[in-house]
Amino acid sequence: MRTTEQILVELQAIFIKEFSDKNIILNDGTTANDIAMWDSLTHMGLMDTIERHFEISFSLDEMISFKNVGDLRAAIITKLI
Amino acid sequence: MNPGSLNYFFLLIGTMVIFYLFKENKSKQSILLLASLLFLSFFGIIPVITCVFLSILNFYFAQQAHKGGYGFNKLVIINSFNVIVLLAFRFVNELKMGSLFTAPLIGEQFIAALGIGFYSLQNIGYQIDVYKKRYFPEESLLPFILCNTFFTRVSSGPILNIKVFNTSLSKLPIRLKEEDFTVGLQRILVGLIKKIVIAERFSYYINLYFDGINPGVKTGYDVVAGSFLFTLQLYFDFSGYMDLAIGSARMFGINLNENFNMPLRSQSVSEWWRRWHITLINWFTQYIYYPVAYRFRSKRTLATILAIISTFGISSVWHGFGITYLIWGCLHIVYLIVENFLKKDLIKLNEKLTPYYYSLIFTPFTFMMVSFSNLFFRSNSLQDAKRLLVTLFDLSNFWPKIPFVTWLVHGVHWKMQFLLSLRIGVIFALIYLFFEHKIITRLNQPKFNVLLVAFMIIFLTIFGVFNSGTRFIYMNF
Amino acid sequence: MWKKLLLAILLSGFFLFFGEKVSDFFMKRNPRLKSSYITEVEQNADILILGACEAEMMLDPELFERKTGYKTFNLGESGTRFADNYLYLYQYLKYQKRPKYLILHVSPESFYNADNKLLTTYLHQAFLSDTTVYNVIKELDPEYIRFSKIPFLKYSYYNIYSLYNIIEATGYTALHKKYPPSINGFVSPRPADTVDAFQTIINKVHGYKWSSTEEKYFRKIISLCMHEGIKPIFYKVPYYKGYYDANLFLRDYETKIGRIASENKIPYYVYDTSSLTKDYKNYFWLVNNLLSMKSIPTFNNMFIKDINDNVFLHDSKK
Repeated sequence: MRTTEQILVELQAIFIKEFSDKNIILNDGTTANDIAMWDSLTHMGLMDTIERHFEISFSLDEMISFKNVGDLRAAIITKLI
Repeated sequence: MNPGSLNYFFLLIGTMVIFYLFKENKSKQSILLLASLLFLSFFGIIPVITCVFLSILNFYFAQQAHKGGYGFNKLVIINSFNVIVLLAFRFVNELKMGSLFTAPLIGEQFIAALGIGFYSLQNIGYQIDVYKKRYFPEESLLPFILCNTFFTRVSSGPILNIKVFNTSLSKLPIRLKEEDFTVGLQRILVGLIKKIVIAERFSYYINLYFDGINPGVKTGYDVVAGSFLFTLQLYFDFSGYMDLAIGSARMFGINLNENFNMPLRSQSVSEWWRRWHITLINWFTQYIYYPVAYRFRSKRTLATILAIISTFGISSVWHGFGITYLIWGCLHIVYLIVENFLKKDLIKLNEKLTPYYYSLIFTPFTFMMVSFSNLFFRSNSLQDAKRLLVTLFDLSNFWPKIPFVTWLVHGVHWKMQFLLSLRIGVIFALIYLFFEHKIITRLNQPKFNVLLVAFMIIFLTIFGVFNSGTRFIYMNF
Repeated sequence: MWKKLLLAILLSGFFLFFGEKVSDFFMKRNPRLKSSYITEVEQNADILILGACEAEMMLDPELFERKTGYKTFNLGESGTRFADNYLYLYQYLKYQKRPKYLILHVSPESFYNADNKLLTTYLHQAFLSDTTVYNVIKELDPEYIRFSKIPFLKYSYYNIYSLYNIIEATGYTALHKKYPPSINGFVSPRPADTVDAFQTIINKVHGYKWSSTEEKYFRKIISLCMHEGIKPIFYKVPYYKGYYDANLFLRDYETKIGRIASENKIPYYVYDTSSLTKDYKNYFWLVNNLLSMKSIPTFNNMFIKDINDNVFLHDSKK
């Protein structure tokens, strides 16, 4: 069972790898506006990586509804439980 | 009746007076509906019947389907119907008067035909949302029809979300608030200025460039000038309409979504599509792009490419039938895919150059790319587009063979009247674009400024092109 | 709020009203428009030339004066229709001495109504206060009259044209430029090196329709002449032969014009048979009926000889 902090750390690693940008630092308030590479064109790929990593699956509506990393993390936690 | 014509304002003012005479919310809604139907009836009885019929059909269909379990089959049936009606209307219109965007931009049939495009998309989206259980179907018919027909925006958008629109309908103001009135008036005035002072002024020249009545295009320079002008005209015309729609709706205390966010400042084509015709793009993103990208997300980049192709493929068909729209769509598909591949490099370049210099290079570049695609968007036929391309890439004949000073004083081949008018238009457009952010902020300030409003009225009256002069196209001799 | 709105409207209304009056003043004095020749300068002409560019640029009053001894004034203006010509004649008679002869250019194309353009409204903007002018505009361009009620909109309605004209006229007045630039109204065509090479438009023309409104104003010019005791003479400049051969129906129109002329006992001179029509080098730019600077004197001499022999000498013998 992962802690919420652990999830954030893992997410940060995924983001860094996905967007090949070492400078990414995530917190709950981080939105797509804060990360240059994160937009509607790369969103689905990112979601796919996250799904595979945590072995969970999101619905389309869930994926679109994330407004920031906090939403994403909360959704991951509910799926993991 | 055109939005922006005298009749439109008579309707708007008349509706406002009656609207604020009544106190009950229901009566206010009914008045708005009546005004909207009256507005539609100016285009003929068929738009009224179609619009009301489609609204009622979609309304009851969603209710019934929801009660009996909204299956995928039902969704396919209703939305196929919506799409077929939309396409049929477009097709008939195209047969009658040629392609939508090459027809005179102010043509009334054009507006009616474009209107069905917008509310059909709303209905299709509504059905999908109800099917996906994003919300419950609407309970009352009146707001639903009003959402489709609302007269300030039926002809040109913005595309509404029924739920959001309903929220503002339930909170219609009892008395006209100073804030609504001021912002509404300022938006209407600036919309008229954009449309009448700038876009109408350009339309005369664009006809000459693209419609081949006069040999307006002789060198590559003319093609470049024509395509730049057209992009500017399209922006000022369309965003002017939006200001009118949003400002008029504000008079009834209704906030419509913004449809443009300074698109000419985009530094990439994908940014352009986040800033240009936002509600349409949002619709396409929500109902086409994301579902496709979601379905194939495990294929990574391929999924993105597929999603881009389907989005712009459908978008180009929505804009019009014909090979030129298809080429336009394909160009944007290529732009976006290339940008997607170069994204990391571009971000690095941005850091290297600093954002300021990066924007100096990529803002004009994006404008050029979009203008180039608009050559196809505006061309009447493939042959015309080909002719323009051949002229454009005939580099030996790019610059008109006249001395620079002659060009500066006399232009290329316009008479002095036309040259002055064109240059005034370009200067106004550039000034507006340069101060766009400040102007928009100023206009949204709720305090009534007598001098500002008076200035806008004077400016509009002195520089407005109320008759774009197409009647005088043969004036040259 | 309402007070502020009212104030804004009053403020702008006042400004625009003032602007309209100032523009009225200058527009009447724009030396490039023929209206200023009528209202500002005494002409004393015996022969008045009227028509569109075929008259303005193809008939040289100086040649007329030299050969006939009659003082001649060219009131033709590019792009005008019969209704414009009618208003010009009306205005001319209002401000100037009555001429003896009126030479009017009439061709099949004068009755062809491209884009429903019946009136070059912006030429008459400054004279809306005259009821005759007002009524003609109201008949032919009602939309304009509707807009012209709003202060300044009578100028901004045809903004593309008027704005430049106002600025030009103001410039002329401020700089005290020689006034008017051409003393007899003749505007010679631009020399060939500033315009594009002649392009032969000998395509078949479609959608040619005889406009009844044009005919109405054509007849109005005739009856105004009859009423005032002016003798009209109609003519048609030589058209490029290739164009005529491709559009044979133009001959029918010509016959129709000839019939109206003979009904009123007016001579109609047609110059299609002349040697000028065969060679496209006698034409200038892309229009089929605009003669080059080289061929204008040839045509003028031909025309002047004809009217001198058949009309002027005949009249003076009486």
